[in-house]
Amino acid sequence: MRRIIPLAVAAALSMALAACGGGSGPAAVPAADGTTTLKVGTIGIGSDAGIRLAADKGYFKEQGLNVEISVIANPPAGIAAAQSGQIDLTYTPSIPLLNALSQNVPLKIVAAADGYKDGAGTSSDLNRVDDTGLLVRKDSSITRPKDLEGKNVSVPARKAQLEVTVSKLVKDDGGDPAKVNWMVLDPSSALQSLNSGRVDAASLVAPFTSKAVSEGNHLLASPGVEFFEQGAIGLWVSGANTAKSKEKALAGFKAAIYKANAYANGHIDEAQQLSAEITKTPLDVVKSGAVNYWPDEVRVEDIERANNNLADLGFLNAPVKLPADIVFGK
Amino acid sequence: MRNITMRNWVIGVAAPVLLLVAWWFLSADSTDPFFPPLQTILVRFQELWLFEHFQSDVLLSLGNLFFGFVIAAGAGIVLGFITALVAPVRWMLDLLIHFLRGIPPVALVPIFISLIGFGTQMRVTSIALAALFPTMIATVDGIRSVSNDLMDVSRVYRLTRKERVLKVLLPAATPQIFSGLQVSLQVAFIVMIASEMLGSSQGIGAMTLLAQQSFMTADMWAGILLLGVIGFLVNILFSLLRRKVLSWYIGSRRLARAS
Amino acid sequence: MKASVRPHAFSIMGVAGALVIWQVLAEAKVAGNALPPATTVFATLTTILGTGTFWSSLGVTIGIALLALALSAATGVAIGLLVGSFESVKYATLAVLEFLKPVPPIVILPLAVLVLGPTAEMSLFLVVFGCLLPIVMQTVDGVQGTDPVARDTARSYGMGEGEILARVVLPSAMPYIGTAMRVAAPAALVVTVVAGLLGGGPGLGQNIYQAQAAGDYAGLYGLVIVLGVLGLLFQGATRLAERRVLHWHESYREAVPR
Repeated sequence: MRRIIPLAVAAALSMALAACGGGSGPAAVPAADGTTTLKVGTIGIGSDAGIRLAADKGYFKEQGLNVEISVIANPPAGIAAAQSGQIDLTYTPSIPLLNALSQNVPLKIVAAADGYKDGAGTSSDLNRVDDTGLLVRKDSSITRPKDLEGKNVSVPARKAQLEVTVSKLVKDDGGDPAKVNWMVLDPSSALQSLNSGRVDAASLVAPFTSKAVSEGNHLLASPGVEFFEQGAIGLWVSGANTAKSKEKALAGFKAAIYKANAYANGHIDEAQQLSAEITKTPLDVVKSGAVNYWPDEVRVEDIERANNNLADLGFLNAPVKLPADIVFGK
Repeated sequence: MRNITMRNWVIGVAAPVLLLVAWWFLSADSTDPFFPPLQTILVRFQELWLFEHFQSDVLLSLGNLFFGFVIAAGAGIVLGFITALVAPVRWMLDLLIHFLRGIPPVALVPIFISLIGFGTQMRVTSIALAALFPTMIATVDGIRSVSNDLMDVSRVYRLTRKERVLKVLLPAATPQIFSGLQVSLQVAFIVMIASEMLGSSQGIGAMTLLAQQSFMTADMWAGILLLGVIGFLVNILFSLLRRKVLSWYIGSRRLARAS
Repeated sequence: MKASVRPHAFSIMGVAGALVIWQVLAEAKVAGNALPPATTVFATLTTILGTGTFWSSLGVTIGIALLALALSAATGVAIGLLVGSFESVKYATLAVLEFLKPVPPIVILPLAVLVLGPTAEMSLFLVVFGCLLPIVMQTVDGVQGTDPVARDTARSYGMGEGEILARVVLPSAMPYIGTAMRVAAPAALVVTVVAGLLGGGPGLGQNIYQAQAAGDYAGLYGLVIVLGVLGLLFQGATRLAERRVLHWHESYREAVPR
């Protein structure tokens, strides 16, 4: 009986295509003024300052691109949209990407969106480089990651970056991540629940990390940088088909993004101003948190490190066998 | 004539079976990550729900659904009666109720979390509150549509207020109340799924969404299948209950007429 | 109809009372900063109403809901006429329809998001999925409720099957379809919002999600109020439309000699 659904999907799809086919048209064909339109999905976080700079400074235009940025709910939704060609590129951290690759979803990494400077993992001041944080109340009895066993810990989504990275902290500290009660909460609910004692620890992303600290909580650990150490984390990813059909446009996107990334690293104040606008956070809260880093390349060994960690922690049965051409243009 | 009935029966049974068989074979060699073979889906269905997660997730979801719905049904009927019978209350609440009804209950889940936390309490409260309105509105409509003749007759017979409510209004409004309850049940089912997406990630809805977000499509299909079957079965149970209650009501009317 | 002032006075009192209770609860900080005072919410709402993005989201939401509604109505009535007119088609589809009828669109939301992504097409598909079946089922009921005598009479006047369908069966099924549409219209709006909220489709649902994720509770409540008002308007509009259809229907019936 359920067969009706794929049929219905197909029917609705064709209906929808018929309904709006006239409007969009195949984007690979340059418009009259010679520009190609790329639709890009972001999740509206501080490091989006990179792509915003590329647009504002005209780097995309230099490459003959017209980039339409839209906000997507979460990386898995973006990946789904990218692989089906609804959008051309999406922002995703490496972990959802690896989850998708492990299920044979055909994807290509086009460029790096954010990450950690080389050697960041050994930095003395981890909270200045890591925009993720594990927070507890000031008077909390939790003093080390192992103490999280049996406690309620919030994450923005299950099996995603923060659960994985905090799990590694717990495991490295001799604890069992399976004994943690993971609670799915959006960052603002998580912070509120932490303040009111409904969760014992909250794993948060900037700007909520600095918000939490300013509300009197204690930053227990910086799970992101301790997990990834260095290299690109946030990635611009496209579907394998798009990578083939819009190769030239994506190469232009890559060049523009890296130019913008370099600019952002060199003009942190300007980038933070944009981050504050994008996340609708006061500038001083952004400035008090981690300083974003925008990498200038994607190295397969950085992805592999995350891949192996995922398998070690049991989130993947085995490391994903990455295709040799996983990184676009390499 | 009997031939036609037979033929209809055969068609009725054969069509869905054929669809399933077609699904089975058409999807058998599927490598599309989003449309896995039916066989894989059924294997995952068995592994997930029978019975590893049955108690921890399936029963949990169904329990929330049941309690939320029962609270909504009870409160909806009582509030409906009060609203229908006391005109000032009705005037006061009418606009508010229709306003609240227009808000997707799913949008209220984050608000409930901030107000009451994210345990079972929140889930049952969300379900109950969202499912309250259809029953309440149907009850009001049902009572308002009881004819004035009927009320006049009951006044002539000098029935007390309590008798009027329980013996005249309630039975007369029952069919409408049941239509409202059916909508409430649907709403409760929707909110059951939505409420599981936040907080401790237990429950069928939570597992299905998690499977989607980690691209475990076979698990996601298994979840969709289970939710579909539950939606279907719950609806059948409700229809049986409705038939039973309404037959009692028809029977009692027949008795009343006979005596 | 006599217009009475009293119900309206009470209605205003009810709304005012609710606002006052809200304000008092919020000022008492019963829920910390998660329950902003009514005054703050309305101030925020005024700001939101002044932005272009709000109006384009609103337009997208209404557009998707109405387009999906129109699609469901056209296909739903067509399928309903087909299923209701032929016994064999009815029995062949009975099991599938009965199985799918109680399945709300949220159940297949994960699949829709996976296949279609967080797009307007995804929202449209979910709304059609949610609205189509009730319309089909009601149309079938309507077709089967057609007075057989009227059908035979039409046939004896020499009308063809198509003409009977258009001039006897469809008008007689109209009240059923009207009821289905009245139920489907607010539902279409709700599903559009849910698709945005949970699936990331465009429109007000997505705005609510963003407000919630950013901890902007005043904006969240403001948008929820917009949805409530929008729901009221949708209910009012469909009731009005249905009354027109029914009015036409009754006058048609009166013209038929009994």
